[in-house]
Amino acid sequence: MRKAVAGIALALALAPAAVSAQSGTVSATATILGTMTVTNVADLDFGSIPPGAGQTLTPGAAAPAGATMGVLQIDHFSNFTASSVITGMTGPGGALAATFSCGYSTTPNGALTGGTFACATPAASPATVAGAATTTYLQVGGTIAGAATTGLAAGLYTGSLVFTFAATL
Amino acid sequence: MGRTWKRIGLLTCALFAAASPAVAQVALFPRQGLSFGVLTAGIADRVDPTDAARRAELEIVGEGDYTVVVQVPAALQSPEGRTLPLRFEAGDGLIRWRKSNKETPFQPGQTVSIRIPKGLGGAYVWVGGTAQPAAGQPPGGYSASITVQIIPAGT
Repeated sequence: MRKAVAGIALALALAPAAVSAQSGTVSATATILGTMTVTNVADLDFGSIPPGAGQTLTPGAAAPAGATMGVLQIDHFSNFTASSVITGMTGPGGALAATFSCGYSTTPNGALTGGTFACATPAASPATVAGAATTTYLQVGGTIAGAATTGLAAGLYTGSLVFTFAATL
Repeated sequence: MGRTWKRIGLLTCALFAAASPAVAQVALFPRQGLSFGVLTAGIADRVDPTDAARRAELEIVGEGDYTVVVQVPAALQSPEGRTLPLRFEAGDGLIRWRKSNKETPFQPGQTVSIRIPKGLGGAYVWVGGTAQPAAGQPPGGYSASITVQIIPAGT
């Protein structure tokens, strides 16, 4: 019997302390903020308009004599979306009705990449290569109808279009 | 004859005991991931392993001698497959004993040997590092995994 007990003790002493390897995983994360620079290249100027006459500036086309197309330069590394707030034009005679049209291009005054769209609901930017430094221009034109200037007091009428750009993937 | 059977029976029990592995003496618990947060393209950002809010943290519960292997990615990846390079240097990893102020710095990606004395309850593995977004790094979310393995010494 003593031999048997000794056998048990020996067997337990030889039992390996089997501690197994353990592993665990955690995540590593980062969010990159979209960066872009927007520069006002030119304000939109309809020029001098005789009473009863209208004026139209079409993005992608040359501006009429005495008028200037509005242009914003956007330096970016990804696609973007734009939103805008338009404050109507006002002057000595009160409000001057106008509609505004926009278009994207690769040069300040060149042909558009895509068509025109209402500035009040800006379109997404033309597709770009993610990570590549890209310059896109937003041309801003518009129309003042002849009826809007009829009987309107002479003077300077101003308003503003404020665009907000947000980088997307 | 009766005594002989008793002996054989006892020996059989003893052999079963010898063949059964002991319960693991150590456990590893992931606590939180390494979070670089919101970064700006072109600007590198380092998370220090003592930064409680942003470092990766795993907890070792147990005692004994171990080799700790921290496998870190070379880059984070976006769902679109774009990469954001990472850098891990000496001191970006830190092992901190639970019940003492003892710390052992290490370089993630390399192995480190530790001894957790009896009574200290375990240790924490803290992992920091540096994210290096390129100037034109596309915006969005990036992620990867950090795997920590603890291997008992002598195995």
